[in-house]
Amino acid sequence: MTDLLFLAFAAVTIGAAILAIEARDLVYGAAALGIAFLGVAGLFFLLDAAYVGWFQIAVYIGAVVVLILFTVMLVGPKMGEAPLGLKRVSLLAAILVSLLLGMTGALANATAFPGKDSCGSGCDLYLLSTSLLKNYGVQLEFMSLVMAAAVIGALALSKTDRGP
Amino acid sequence: MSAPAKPVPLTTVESTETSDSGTQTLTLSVGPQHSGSGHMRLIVEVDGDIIVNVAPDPGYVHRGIEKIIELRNIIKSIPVIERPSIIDASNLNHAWVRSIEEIQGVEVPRRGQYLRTLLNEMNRIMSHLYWLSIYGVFLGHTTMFMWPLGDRELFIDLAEKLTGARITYSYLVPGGVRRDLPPGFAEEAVKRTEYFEKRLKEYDRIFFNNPLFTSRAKGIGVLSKEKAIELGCTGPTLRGSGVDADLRKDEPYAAYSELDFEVSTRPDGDSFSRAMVHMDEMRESCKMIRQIVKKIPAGPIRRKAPIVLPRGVAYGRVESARGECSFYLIGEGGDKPYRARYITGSYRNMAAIPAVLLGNRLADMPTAWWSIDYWPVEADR
Amino acid sequence: MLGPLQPLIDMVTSPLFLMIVLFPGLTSIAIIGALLGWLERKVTARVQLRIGPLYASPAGGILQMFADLIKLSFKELFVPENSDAFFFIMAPTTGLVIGAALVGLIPFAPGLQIANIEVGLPAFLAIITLSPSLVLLAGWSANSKFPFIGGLRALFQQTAYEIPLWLSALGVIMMAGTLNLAQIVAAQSTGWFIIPQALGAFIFLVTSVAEMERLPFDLPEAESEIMMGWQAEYPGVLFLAAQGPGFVKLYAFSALFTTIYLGGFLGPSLLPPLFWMLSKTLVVIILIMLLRSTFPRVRLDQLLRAGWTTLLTLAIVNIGITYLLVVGLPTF
Repeated sequence: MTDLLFLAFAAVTIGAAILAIEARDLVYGAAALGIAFLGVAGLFFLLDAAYVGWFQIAVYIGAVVVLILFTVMLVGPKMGEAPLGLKRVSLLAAILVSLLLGMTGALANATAFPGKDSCGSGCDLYLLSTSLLKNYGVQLEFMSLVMAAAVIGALALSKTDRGP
Repeated sequence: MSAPAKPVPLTTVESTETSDSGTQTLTLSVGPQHSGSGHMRLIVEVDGDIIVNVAPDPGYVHRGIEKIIELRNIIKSIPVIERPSIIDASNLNHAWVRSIEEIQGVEVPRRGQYLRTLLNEMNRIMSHLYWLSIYGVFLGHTTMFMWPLGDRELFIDLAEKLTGARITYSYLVPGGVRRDLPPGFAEEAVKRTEYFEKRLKEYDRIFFNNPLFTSRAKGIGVLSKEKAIELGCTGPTLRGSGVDADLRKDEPYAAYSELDFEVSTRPDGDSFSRAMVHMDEMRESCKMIRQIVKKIPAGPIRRKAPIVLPRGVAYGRVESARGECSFYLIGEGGDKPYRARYITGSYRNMAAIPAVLLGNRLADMPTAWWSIDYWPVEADR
Repeated sequence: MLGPLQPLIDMVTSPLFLMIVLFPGLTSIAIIGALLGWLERKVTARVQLRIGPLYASPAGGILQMFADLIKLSFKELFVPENSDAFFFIMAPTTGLVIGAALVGLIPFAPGLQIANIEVGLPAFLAIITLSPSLVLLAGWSANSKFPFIGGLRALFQQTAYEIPLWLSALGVIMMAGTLNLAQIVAAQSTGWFIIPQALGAFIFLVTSVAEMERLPFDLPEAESEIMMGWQAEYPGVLFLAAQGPGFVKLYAFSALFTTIYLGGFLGPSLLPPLFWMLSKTLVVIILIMLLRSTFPRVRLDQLLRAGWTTLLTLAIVNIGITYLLVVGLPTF
């Protein structure tokens, strides 16, 4: 059962992520991004890390996707118009994201969430907070960089010249 | 604020333009189906959230009243004249009969004058209450929508007792009024006005002293004293800008010279002061109604007046609920006028709509422009 | 004889299934949502010296909303030309699902809770954060000016009020030391959190009214300004789906307020816990409904300024107060 769920969530995540990049309409792309984030949240739930999963939903869908949607709708192409040419920007973004991922991966000193502090089936809030702030403090700060990246991305999108 | 509004060509209503600051502006058509307008349209150009250009587009309810008047006998015109502003019918009626009496040279008996004043003041309250209820709903205050409309019934019932009709009375006729006071009217009027004054205090508590209302109305839609005079505003709009001008005091007609009342002015010229002028006028009208039923002299209510308009020219004007309402009347000896020019308070105040809106936010639009008390039907005639 | 059907019968009669289908699940949400519509009309009418719905049943028009539901469902389902049909239909229906999911997290009585998860409070608030993007999509998909302005207003408003909402709930978490809603209720057996958390409760109430887009924060719908905003283009059943989440959210937020500040289902044992829970929720609902008939609408910039400065500051002050209450003065 767990394996099947894992496969389902992984398929949703990857499929939605591909759609997010390939969608002709940027609004659909942003919505697909939201679904990809939901899939990631599902993976966290499978790992018995409900706390992280809910915050994944709140921060990534509640804030990042909304920010992207907002920018796309406000300054993006109108309904039916051709999408923006963002080739160079996306190359830059890819480099930045891989750098960020590499740094986060290098800093991570554990791959699985240890026992009681995961806040899944049993929850010790005190243990969870100490482990989040002490063991994973640096990663947490890097996670917050995503918000900054979203703001910068939104600004970059709004500054992009629209074609004639 | 000082730049005059340039009219927006109708063809550009749906397009976006580039303003002087290089940003794109959006042209919105507010009305006639928009719930924040009446039977009229405001073509509003917004730069972001700021209104940069407003062009009122009236005429949706133009009924050619002036032409109808020319084709009818002067008595039969009275119901027609009341139509443009049925919530303020007797004041318009009064302007008409005043101009007729001026040509005919008929003196109205004092009791008739008092009864005219009585109905005029009741009508002023009704009209202001109607205005207030729409103002409430424009601000999203549902209670202020329902209360004034409910309390308006107090005076509608009273007027029904007096005249037999609820809103369009056709009560004032050349030479006097149609009916005398019914028995028990005085006590009923005192009771109702006293109750209504209590209700006005409750309005203050729930609406006018509400911090959310004051923060939305104070400093919004400012119309300076000079600007208000320059644009030819009248009525509560002019008094809300601090100009002490009221025909009831400046050129007393009917029984106003014998009544004790104050003209309310507010110096700030914003939406809040215009709203407060309306409130003050309702209080003053209540006082006046009580004075009238106490002081009303005995005697005839109507003097015989001919149904003929002699050759001559007259200009009759009264202070209606929305400002000065006037008739310029030319008689040629028959029972129909040769020409009647008819101007109402709303028409005079239309010029103030762009002035109060320019530079404000789109969200302040209902607050600012409805405080002018613009009644599209009355303005279009 | 019942052999092959036995698992099905077991499933249908299992407590969880009954809870999901009946109470506090889907059926009760639909009925309570409609009854709240009636209650709102009655309460507002009472304040405004009117009568309100009267004829739709012997008991004071209590079936009025059901009559309206039937009427709306017979309207033509019309999707505007040039609109984005997928999001136009998806957004309001997903909104309904989200609203119903919120109710599933609330403990209505000991054991009467659909999903008793460890992180109930953050889960509730995280589900709420999904609604601005749906409203934005709904406004955008109609491809019309006023709905789009309404969608943008919803976005501004809800993002500005989400942060104070989370921070005010943090005070409760600090007091209770748990994220589980049932345990938060249990932690209040010595005293309701509304007393030490008065400031937090105030912020929570204000921000949740803003999240629900109710007066005085109904800017995304503001009828006199932008003509129902993002709901302007919705026909018949879809309009119902767009309006419905408002009442479901009102129910869910009031139940959450009761749970985390008013001691949830706790009360004298004369009456069952469910009674206390529902009656407290009703009081909160009526309080929120009275706000509607007492205040005019605020302006967008006033709303944003209040959200980002006043409420945020107050929420942080509240956390400081809670720290002093829970930990005591810090020693250096």
